[in-house]
Amino acid sequence: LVIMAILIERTWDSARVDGPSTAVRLFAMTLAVAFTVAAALAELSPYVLDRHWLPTAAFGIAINLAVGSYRGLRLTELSRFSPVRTAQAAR
Amino acid sequence: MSALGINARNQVIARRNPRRAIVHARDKVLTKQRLTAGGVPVPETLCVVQDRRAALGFDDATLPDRWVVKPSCGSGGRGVVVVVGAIRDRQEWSTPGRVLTSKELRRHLTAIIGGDHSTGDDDVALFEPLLRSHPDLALLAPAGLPDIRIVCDGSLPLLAMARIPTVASGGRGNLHQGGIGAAIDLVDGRITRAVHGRRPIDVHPDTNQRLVGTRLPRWDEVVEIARRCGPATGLGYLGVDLVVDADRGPLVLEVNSHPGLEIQNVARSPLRPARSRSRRRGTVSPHDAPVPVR
Repeated sequence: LVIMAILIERTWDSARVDGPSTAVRLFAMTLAVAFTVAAALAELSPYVLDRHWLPTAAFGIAINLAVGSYRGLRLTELSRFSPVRTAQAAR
Repeated sequence: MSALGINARNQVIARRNPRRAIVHARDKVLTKQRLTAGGVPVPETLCVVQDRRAALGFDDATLPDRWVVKPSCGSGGRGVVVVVGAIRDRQEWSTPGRVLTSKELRRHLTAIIGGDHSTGDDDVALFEPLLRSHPDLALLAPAGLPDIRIVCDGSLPLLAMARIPTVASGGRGNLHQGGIGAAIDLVDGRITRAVHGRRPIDVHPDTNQRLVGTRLPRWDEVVEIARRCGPATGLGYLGVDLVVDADRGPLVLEVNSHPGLEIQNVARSPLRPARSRSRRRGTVSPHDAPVPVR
């Protein structure tokens, strides 16, 4: 409930500042990520967590370290900054 | 070299901007004090309303005809009221689109102080005189106040752009609200490229006034002032927002500890800040020379 309230408040702020289409897109993308994470976690049954907690935890930490230390462009930024890349290549 | 993305920018900010400097940069009153101490010109402060009692007893008869009130810790224009004239012997105020009574003003001040328009719990209200654009800039943008954003690496300017309001943007310069982004050559202050949305333009869509090729007034002073903001605020990587006032010349409106990245698309040039703290004092090597925006 709290997360949804914050999400809705952010959507209103975003609609005011960036426009309704951007706000709706942000809202939809956030929900999509949330559902993806929820679905991934749902796959981790209590049995798996009980019997294989060490490799599961190690895998989680490794993924976090890999994603957390990534400093390159995000997927959405590849298209956002394509004009810069094109201009640089032309030079 | 690729554009600077959010991940890389956040790493630069984490390494270059001390936490305390970031917190201070969000407070406009505190930032103005620091900038003034660092020899940076800022708009005059008419008064600061600190608490609810002062807000309820606020006497607006002492204000000039044209002023602006804003939350000290606000962002994105939230809570900002622009007054363009006094009505009925200062009992009412004219704002774009409506009339503001003294009672409504006091209610707005209590909302600001209660933190309704800010990121923190509570806030203070900052009154400043309404700035008038330099005549050369007023020609470019008859509606609203154009401002200049310079992203700096310490005292080294990296990229510059002007944000020019249009009728469609409601007098605001924000690019996503219909304002024009105009890349500026850091060396001579000329507009080299302008975009409206994602569309490149050469002239202002409302006035047909030529943008590309126009030299901004008092450019050398603008750059010199932007250079001083990093050392004055303790930020190693920052965005400096300036205006060129008709009377006082270049003034810093605010500094941003997390400057946006869209300036790269406007300038068609990547930001290249240093990744370490070593350049915070503004030591510049030939390798670090500003990238001319062509």
